[in-house]
This record gives sequence, structure tokens and C-alpha cells, in this order.
Amino acid sequence: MPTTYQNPRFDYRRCADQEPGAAAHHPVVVVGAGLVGLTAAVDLATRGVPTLLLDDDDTVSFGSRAICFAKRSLEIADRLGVGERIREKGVTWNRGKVFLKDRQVYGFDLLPEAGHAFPAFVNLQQYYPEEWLVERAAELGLTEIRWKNRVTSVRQDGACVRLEIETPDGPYAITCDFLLACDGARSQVRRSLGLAFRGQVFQDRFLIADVVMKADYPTERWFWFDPPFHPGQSVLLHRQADDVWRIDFQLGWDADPEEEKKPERVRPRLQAMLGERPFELEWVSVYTFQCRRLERFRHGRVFFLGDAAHQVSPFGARGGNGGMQDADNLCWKLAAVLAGEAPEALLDSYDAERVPAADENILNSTRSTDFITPKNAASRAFRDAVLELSGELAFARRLVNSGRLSVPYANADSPLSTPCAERDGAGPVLAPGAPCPDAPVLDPGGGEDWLLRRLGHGFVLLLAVEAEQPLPADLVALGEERPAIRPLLVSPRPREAAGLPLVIDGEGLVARRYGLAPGAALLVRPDQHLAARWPRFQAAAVRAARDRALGIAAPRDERAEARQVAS
Amino acid sequence: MTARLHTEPRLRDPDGFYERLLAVYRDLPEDEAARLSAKLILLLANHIGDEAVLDEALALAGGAPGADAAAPDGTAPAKTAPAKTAPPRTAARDAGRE
Ligand SMILES: Cc1cc2nc3c(=O)[nH]c(=O)nc-3n(C[C@H](O)[C@H](O)[C@H](O)COP(=O)(O)OP(=O)(O)OC[C@H]3O[C@@H](n4cnc5c(N)ncnc54)[C@H](O)[C@@H]3O)c2cc1C
Repeated sequence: MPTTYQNPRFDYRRCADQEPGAAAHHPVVVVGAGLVGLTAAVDLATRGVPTLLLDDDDTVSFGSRAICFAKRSLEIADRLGVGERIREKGVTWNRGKVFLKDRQVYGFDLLPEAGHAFPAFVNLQQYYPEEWLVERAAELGLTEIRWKNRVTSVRQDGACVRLEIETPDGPYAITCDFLLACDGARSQVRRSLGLAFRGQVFQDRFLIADVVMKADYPTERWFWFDPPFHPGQSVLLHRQADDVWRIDFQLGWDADPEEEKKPERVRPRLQAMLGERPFELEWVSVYTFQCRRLERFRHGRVFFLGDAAHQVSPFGARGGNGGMQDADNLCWKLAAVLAGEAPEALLDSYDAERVPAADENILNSTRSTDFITPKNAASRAFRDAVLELSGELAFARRLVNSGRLSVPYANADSPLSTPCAERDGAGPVLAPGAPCPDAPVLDPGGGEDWLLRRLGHGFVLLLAVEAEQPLPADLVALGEERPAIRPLLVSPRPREAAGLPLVIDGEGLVARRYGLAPGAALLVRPDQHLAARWPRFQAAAVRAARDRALGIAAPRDERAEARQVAS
Repeated sequence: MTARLHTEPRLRDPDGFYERLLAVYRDLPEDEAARLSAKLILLLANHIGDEAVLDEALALAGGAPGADAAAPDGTAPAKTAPAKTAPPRTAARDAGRE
């Protein structure tokens, strides 16, 4: 049915591992070339780690699934080299409106401030970023993708993981050191290891209709409760690329999915909503949803990412976005372990950081679902009461929940963060664990750039310097040791930088968003999350914080003290 | 933890309030009555604004064990209580322990 997008077909190719008696071994295998598996493979490739990526299909996502990519995902995609493409092709939006019957009861702006490379959201059909990630993987040249390779069984012992794979030429087996299970909600890896996937099923059905039309709706997220064209239920409208519009009709639990999918059923629903506007049906599906997760995401040498690890309802766009952040979190750690720069114990922090993140996503999407799909007469009464009051009363508007849209997890309790005592007086302080916010910066030559692009994908020491302040002597050494901590000076004005990278915070937005006072030092992790911060630079403290972020056991106190005295 | 929810009698004219409360529900079908109750709860909750107080009320109304109800202190308007046929109504009993 889709007319605006032609799925690419990738050829199955027989490989040497399939020869009898081959017994091939790979350091890292990723199962599933979906949004998350591709993100992981490309992230690892940017860090110089080769992977074998197995997928049971021969193309990217078929039909419409994820469309809303959140700011943080766009920033991750940008680091991987596909962010600009997503932004250019996609539809940028920051605002949403909520209607009750035929009047607006609530409106929001998700990114009310300027000075970010990426907007709050870009809407784009999931197959585009996937296709570009396949291309990016080919460009980087470290990912071997094997299409039509279906993993049927996974076993592990302390030493390695063994996979059985089914292909058009029959089965073969390989082993690997680390396995990233990105094989989606019905994960075969998860089943093969016999892991429970617990949570809540919601008793409701939704009809997705993607239609092609030239419409004059603004580029905003519109959500209706009980609209005249679909009484008693909710409807969601989103604009996508290629003049495709996503319309989501709540149907209720009793609806018959097969009947509801029929064009002769869907068209009248759409006509009631769209009136005289001509449209073409691009894609129709009926779905139910669940909120659930694995108890742990690391199981020995096997890691679960994306829908294989956790599932949320679509309200809030937290599924794909959460999965991309899983990859962002795990890949630098795995790269550090493989490079011998961190102990294997660092990988446990994937659980410590991403399980609570998944819980936050599940909590938010469950709350939205409870609002949209009331479970009993009492919850319906409260929901309707909130909506009725929301027209007149501001307090009730804040209770209206049509989806709390994906924001990155603040990661406040990360074991990798160095706790900070510092509490700057002015402005909000960015706490360790949190993802680094973007801000516009200038090159000393006046060229415009974004701070996140300057952070790159290694450890970075951000140092706030005044124009006249002398630079600490041991900055250069940090950049030369392994693992390197690259210094990046942030100054309100151009200044002499002794050959070190310098950005000018002309608008003062870096200082504001990071809570920087002159002299402050911030250690940024390779995934652009904050690891530690200090009011003053001290090389020993910075090294200790880097080691902590790498899961290296803290040096004994007296040694740390001795180093501090020495520096 | 100090209890912050007032459970001692505070209404100047309890009978009058009760009458007005019932009056807004009179003749309402069940679903509308439920919606009205919900609106009332939301309005009052926002007025109170203190989530600790609201949590206490939720626990008390939901009959949570240990929810701390003030014992009747004798100032309750005895003249309307059906004192002979029923035990004095305490908040805890109203909360579903009966
Ligand atoms: C209607 C709908 C709307 C959504 N909207 C949004 C949104 O707006 N924003 C958002 O962030 N998320 C959204 N989501 C969720 C999002 O689509 C998923 O969270 C996302 O696709 C998860 O990516 P993944 O890579 O983990 O899994 P998948 O995309 O499911 O990819 C899994 C891959 O693994 C492969 N595979 C499966 N089994 C095997 C096997 N045994 N061997 C080899 N390969 C295998 C599959 O072929 C597939 O390529 C939506 C979902 C739905 C259904």
C-alpha cells in the first residue's frame, strides 16, 4: 500500500562462516537491524569497533511505526552522522494542542527557547533513519550486515555466546564475546534465554491510518478527546514527511481488528474527520500495546536494547527514542572494555543506568495510557472531570495527559558519576549523570558551531575560562594520556589558548545551561553525559572522576590525597 | 511524622453543608454524579495544594492500615447523630473499615 516510500531490498549473501566446520568467532554480534540495532552498530563503528549485524529480514522497517524523534535522539543521530538528514527530510515541530470535543483546552510548547541545533521533535517515518543508518554503516566500513539471517537460539557460558542462525541456505552457528540483542518486542534472544518479560497489557485498540494529503493543518501535535467526528474516543494527528499524515483513532477493546483495517471501514472514519479534503490511504494497522520490561538488561555477555528490553505504549514517543538512548549508553562502555581501558564491570552500569530510564518511560507512558484509556467507571469520571474543568481552569489543564513526550533520563543516581557538593547560586546547575544540553558557540575565527558537535565522542574536560585567566599547566597532559581527556576551553571572548581547542560562548548560553562560573571544570563522558563538575580545575580529581566513569575502582584514599598534594 | 490533615470538626454548619452537598447530586444519574464527585475532589485537591495532606487523605479514605483518624472528641453535633442505633462515626470507620 505505501506509495511514498519504496523499501530498499538488501541481498542475502552466503558467507564463509556458513561453510561446513567453519566455527567462526566474532567479538561483537548485534541481533536485529532495526532502529536500535543499527544505531548500536554505527555507534560502535564510530568508536572503531567492528560488529556483525544479523537481521531476519532483507529491508528496513516496513510500513509506519515510529515517527516522532526527540531532541536527544536527534543529537545522538547527529553524533553518528545522520542527524542533519533526519532534520532536513523530517517535519520539525515543538507545539501541541489538546481538544475536548470541538474546542481547544490546552496547548504546549516543548522547546520555548532558541539556541539548540535540534528542535524538540522531528517527525519522520522510521524507515528513513534506518535506511540512512545502513548507508552510514557501509560508509564507516566496520559493520558486516547479514540479511535473511535469523537467530534461532542463543546459549552462553562464562567464556562466550553461541548463536544458531537460520538462512535461505540452511542453518549455521557462530560464537561471539558480546551479544547485543536488538531483535525487537518479540525477541528470540530473550525467549531463547528463557527470560521473563513482565508488565501490563492495556485493553484498548488503536487504528493507525497514514494518509497522503495536502492539508492546511499547522505542523503541530493535535490530540482530541471525544471529538464530534469520533465520539467517545480519542484521536491523534501528526504530520510526517512526504505529505503523509498519521491519524490515530482510539477504537476500544471490543473493536474487531480485521474488520477495522478494511478500507471501506477506514475511509468513512477519515472522511468524518477530514471533510472535503482529498486523501490517499498510505498505511493502515490496528494495534494494542503493553508496558513491560526485562528485570535486567545485562545477562552475562548478552545485552538487551530497545524493544527487546522494554516496551512502552506509543503515547509519549518513548519506544524508539528510549532504545536509541540504550545504544548511546552501552556502546562507549563496550568500546572502552574492548580497548582494555575499562574493566568488564563497567558494563554492569548499563543496567544501573538504563533500567531506571526504562522505568521512567514506562511510568510516563502508563500514566498517559491510564488517562487516555480509563480502566473503570471511576477513572473515566476523573478523566472527564479533568477535561471539563480544563477549559476554564489552568490547574486542570496540567492534569490533562495525552502523552508526556520523551525527554532523556536525568540519570541522577548513576554509579559512574562523581557526586558534587557544588551548588551554584545562580541558575539551574546541570547535575552529574544528565545529558549535556546543546548551545551555540563560535570558533575563535567567528565561525558558528554547536557545543555538542564540539564535544565529540570521547571524554572532554570543559573548562570555563575568563579572557585574562592563565591556563592550568597540566591540561595538555590529560589530552595525551589514555584514555584521553580532551580539554575544551569555553570563554566569553576570544583569547590566547596555548594551542588548545577553544570555543567562544558569545551568547552566554553555555554558561547559563551548564551553570558555569569562571574557573569551573566539567567532565563529559563519551556519550555526552556529565560525569563530574568542580568549581575549580584539579587534574587529580578529573582523573579520578574519569576512572570512576570507567568503572575503575577508586584508588585508595591516601594515594588520591598524595596526588592532589602533588598537583 | 505529624498528621497535617485536619480531621477535627471544622465546619461551622455541618448540617447545612451536608444538605448543600446532597442538593448538587439530587436527581443526577450515576455517571454524572461520579463526574461531579470527581470535579469536586479535583477542585478541593488543588485548593489544598499540599500533596502530603492529600496523601494522608487518600490513605485515610482508602482505609490504609495505620491511617491516623482523630477520635471523636465529643464536639460532634450529637443531636443529628443516630447515637442510639449506631456507634459514633469516626473518620476511620467512614473510610471503609465497617
Ligand atoms: C504504531 C507505533 C507508533 C510508534 N511511534 C513511535 C514514535 O513516534 N517514537 C518512538 O520513539 N517510538 C515509536 N514507536 C516504537 C518504535 O517503533 C519501537 O520502539 C522501535 O522500532 C524499537 O526498535 P528496535 O530496533 O528495538 O526493534 P525493531 O524496530 O522491532 O527491530 C527489530 C529488528 O530485529 C529483527 N529481528 C527480529 N527477530 C530476529 C531474529 N530472530 N534474528 C534476526 N533478526 C531479528 C527484525 O527484523 C527487526 O529488523 C511506535 C511503535 C508503534 C507500533
